[in-house]
Amino acid sequence: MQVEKFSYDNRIVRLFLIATITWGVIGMLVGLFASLELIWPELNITSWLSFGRVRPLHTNAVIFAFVGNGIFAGVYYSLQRLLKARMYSDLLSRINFWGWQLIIIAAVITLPMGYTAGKEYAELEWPIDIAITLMWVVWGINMFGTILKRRVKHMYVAIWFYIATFVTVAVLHLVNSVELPVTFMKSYSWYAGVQDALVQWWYGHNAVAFFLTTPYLGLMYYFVPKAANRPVYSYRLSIIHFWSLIFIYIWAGPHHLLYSSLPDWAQSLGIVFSIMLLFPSWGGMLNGLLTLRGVWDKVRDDAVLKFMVVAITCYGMATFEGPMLSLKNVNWITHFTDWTVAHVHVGGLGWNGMLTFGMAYYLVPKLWRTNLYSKALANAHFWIATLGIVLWVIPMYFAGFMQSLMWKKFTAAGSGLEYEFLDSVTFMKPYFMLRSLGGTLFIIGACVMVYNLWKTARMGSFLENEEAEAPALVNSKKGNKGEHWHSWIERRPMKFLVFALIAILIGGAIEIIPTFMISSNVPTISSVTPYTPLELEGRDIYVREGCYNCHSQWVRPFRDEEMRYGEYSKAGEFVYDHPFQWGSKRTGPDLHRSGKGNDMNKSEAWHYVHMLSPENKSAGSIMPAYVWLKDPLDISNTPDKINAMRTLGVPYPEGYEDQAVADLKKQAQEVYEAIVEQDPDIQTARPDMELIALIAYLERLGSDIHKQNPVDEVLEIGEGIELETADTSSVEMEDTTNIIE
Amino acid sequence: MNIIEKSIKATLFLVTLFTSSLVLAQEETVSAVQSTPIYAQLGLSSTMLFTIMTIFTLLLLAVVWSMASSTKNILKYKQDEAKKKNHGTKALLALFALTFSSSVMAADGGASESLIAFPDSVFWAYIVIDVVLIMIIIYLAGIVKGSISDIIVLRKMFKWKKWKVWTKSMTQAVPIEEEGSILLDHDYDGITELDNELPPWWKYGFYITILWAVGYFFYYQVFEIGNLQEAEYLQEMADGEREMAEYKAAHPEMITADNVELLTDASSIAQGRSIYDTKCASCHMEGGRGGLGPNLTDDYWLYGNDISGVFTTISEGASNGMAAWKTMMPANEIQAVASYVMQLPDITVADGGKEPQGDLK
Repeated sequence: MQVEKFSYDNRIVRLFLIATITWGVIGMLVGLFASLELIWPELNITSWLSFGRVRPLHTNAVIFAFVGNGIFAGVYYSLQRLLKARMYSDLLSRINFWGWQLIIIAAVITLPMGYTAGKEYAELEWPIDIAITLMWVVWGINMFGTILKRRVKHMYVAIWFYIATFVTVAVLHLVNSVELPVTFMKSYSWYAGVQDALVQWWYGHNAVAFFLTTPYLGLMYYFVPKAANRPVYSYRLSIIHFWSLIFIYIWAGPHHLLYSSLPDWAQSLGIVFSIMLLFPSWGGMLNGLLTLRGVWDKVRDDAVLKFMVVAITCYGMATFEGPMLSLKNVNWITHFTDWTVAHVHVGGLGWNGMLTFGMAYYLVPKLWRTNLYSKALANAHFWIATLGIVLWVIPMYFAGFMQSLMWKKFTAAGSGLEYEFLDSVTFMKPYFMLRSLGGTLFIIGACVMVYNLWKTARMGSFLENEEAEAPALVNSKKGNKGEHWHSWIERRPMKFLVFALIAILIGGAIEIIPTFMISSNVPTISSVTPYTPLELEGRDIYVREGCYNCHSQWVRPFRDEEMRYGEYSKAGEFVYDHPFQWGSKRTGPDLHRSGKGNDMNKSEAWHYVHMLSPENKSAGSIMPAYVWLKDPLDISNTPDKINAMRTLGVPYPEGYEDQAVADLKKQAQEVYEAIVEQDPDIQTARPDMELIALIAYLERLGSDIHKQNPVDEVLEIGEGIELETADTSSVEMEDTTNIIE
Repeated sequence: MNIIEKSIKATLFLVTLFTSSLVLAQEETVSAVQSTPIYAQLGLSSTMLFTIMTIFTLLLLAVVWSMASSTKNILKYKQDEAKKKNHGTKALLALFALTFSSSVMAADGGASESLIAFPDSVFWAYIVIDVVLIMIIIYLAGIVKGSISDIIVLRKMFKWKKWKVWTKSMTQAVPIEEEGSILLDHDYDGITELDNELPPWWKYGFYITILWAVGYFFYYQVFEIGNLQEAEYLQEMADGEREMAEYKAAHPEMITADNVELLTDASSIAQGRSIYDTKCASCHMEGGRGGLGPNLTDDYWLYGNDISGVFTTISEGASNGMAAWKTMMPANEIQAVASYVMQLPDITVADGGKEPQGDLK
């Protein structure tokens, strides 16, 4: 058999590795800054540094820049070696790298400017979405090109995970990012309300699954056995946990929407699949940890293994916690609290962070052909980072729990609530400080690593093209005698892709399609009407400023929430919300019932003063002072926005776009007059401010259900909805089963 | 070993058969049962008894399973036999579980209202199953005990190698020294793969979550037994109202003239009446027609005329001789008696009532 000579492309690995570490440090620093803003709101110096814009920058930076580049670095290194082939095309590799960095730079520029689609972890606007799609396809072609010209007959488990990552992220991104552009950097989500929420959290949950988990499991399957020099513990465990993981993961999205107006059946599906996800997730942990059987003494000495072990342990903890948080009675406590944030950071700092560090400590000495500059510094990094994680998450677990109890605590007589929302904010401050301290330690650790790796690289010499040789692969589809049944698919990458695609489509389809197709899943309320042009513009400002990062618009059906905020949110109230703005975290109170007719409604003048100087209305508030909202409102696109909304199904009458601006100005004048009448001390207000539009939106939120129902005057509106919901529950189930069949 | 395995299999098979036949038979007997069902005799709801019996039976099953597997292990060590797979028992156990769950579902099929119907026949089926299971446990306990006392080596092993035995039974991992036997001919950039068994605790954990998931979905979405969001919400609101009422009752000092509400429910009125009869009737006479004190049934009032006014008059007293009752009666009793007074039917002078005093209001 002829032995072929070829070389591995190490330059692309170096590029991605440098990008990983650079963006990692930047992303973490942005996170630290955001956390400090929660302690000292004065840090919201300008619009582009305000928390609502910085937090999406942090999440996008660590997910897509830090972990994203980490995926590419690890895949480009391991894929070539596992397949005994150079990457399919060096050009595609370079395009993949520079394209991805340009996307990140575009994000770094546009997110602080307030260009956002308003959906968590999918904030980037439509032109960048298209660029992401292109780069993903470039990576996919490059990867599959390499797989097809491989010199190893079977694909190793790491590559299964890479394939699943590729295909699922593509599906998630394409479906969730369907949006209608209005201008170059403004679009509206194609979906509205409950449906948008379901699609978004199907995406959001599986971004965690297929961007932060499956590719990193692939990396674990390469780097752990390599670093430990041990065989992988169990091949059959790999098979079972891989397929069960990707099949089950996709269903679990609705656990982000428990106790919402998402239909019950979808919530229940989300719960049961979350529970079933526990053991498939742990399968990965076990295969990682048990691979270290017999070499645990190495873990004591070897920095790479040390980081990997903590990473895998954190993965096990986070994937245990996830199913627990999906149980309704746990979710009842934890949802909207900082517990969720702690949970995410066990995964982010622990699993992704520590695994990336381990990988970097493995790769740099290999690529630069030398030994690590300092084991002691690597050890120091390990302990600083571990301590950082502990200091980060434990205070937040505790505080998140207490926060929830404070929100839910009734007075002894039960007729009122014990605490103001603001009390829970004040309570959090010391824990926020501990969290920032933990984060600081983690970043210091990362800086130690940067120094250590820098010195290592200086000591060695980089090998751009690593020579290798292997016999050519002949008859790649022919099996060996007595082989395992799964070997069949391991020789057929395209079939593998299709099977993985089928596995991940089932869950999404069963949950999403009925929610869209069966009208009874979203009972409509006839008194809910589209936003006025001014309110629509105000809503766009709400989205632009990232208000959803701290304020939910989703009153859960609990007694305490009804007492604090008002009647719980109904599906029919969100039908014109492109995108939905339910939020996932309450750093501030829920706003769904802030509109007129609700108990928590505040006057226009109150909002005016509060938005410009929150301390003035609620002492101790950590909300930024939105002084830049005094700028004049841009109404040049209002008619286009009305047209776009009509395209999306919002029933504005034909030709209304011509009247919209006049209506907008009229309403702005009314709001303005209300403000100066309510508080004659307000001298600065003008009718053309952005703030006026935002106030108009806030005064509208959740007020439609209090309007007289023109269709059915006999029933009270609230009752009518309840009856409708109750009636349709059985129908829903039947319809779903039909579709499943 | 073979004998024991076979006997376990046989017993389980019999139990399975027995259960299925009971389930089949049950369909005809359900309608015939007329007398008080057992759950009612025990003072439990059918759902509650069903749950208790199910959990108890499942517990027994778990015990049987773990004892059977440990018996297997012990005997394996005792006879130093090569490892044998025991698909037969597993399949039977699975079959048994299946039949068992189908009996549960059959019981649900007969559900009348929202609760699980739990006819006596099913209850007795449960009892029979449980008794059989307990017998199996006793039988297995005997084997375990006998084997252990027989073999000193085994004892030693349990003393010194307990941890190893335990980890082995939990992971089914091939010892590192022998792992060459399960090393696959895979080589990916130097990475090789072993083919260890799925760790049993992992595998059975996965099965349990799947069973749980199916159970959960059936419980909430198919049989609609559990409270979903809306029902849970209504329940929470009702509980809240009840707790508030209880708190009020326990803290009468909370009722003041400013917030006192007129009670109209029959039990409050009855309570008010009995207080009235013992404490007020001596002056205002029976039915409030008036005696030493004014007529309370007409529309003329000397002091306050609404619930708040009457409450004040009773608790603070009045200058014409009316006592201040607040030191002698808790506020909720004053509220009850005031509410009673407010709803008294008119007794005119013609009917023997006292002539009106005060203003018409």
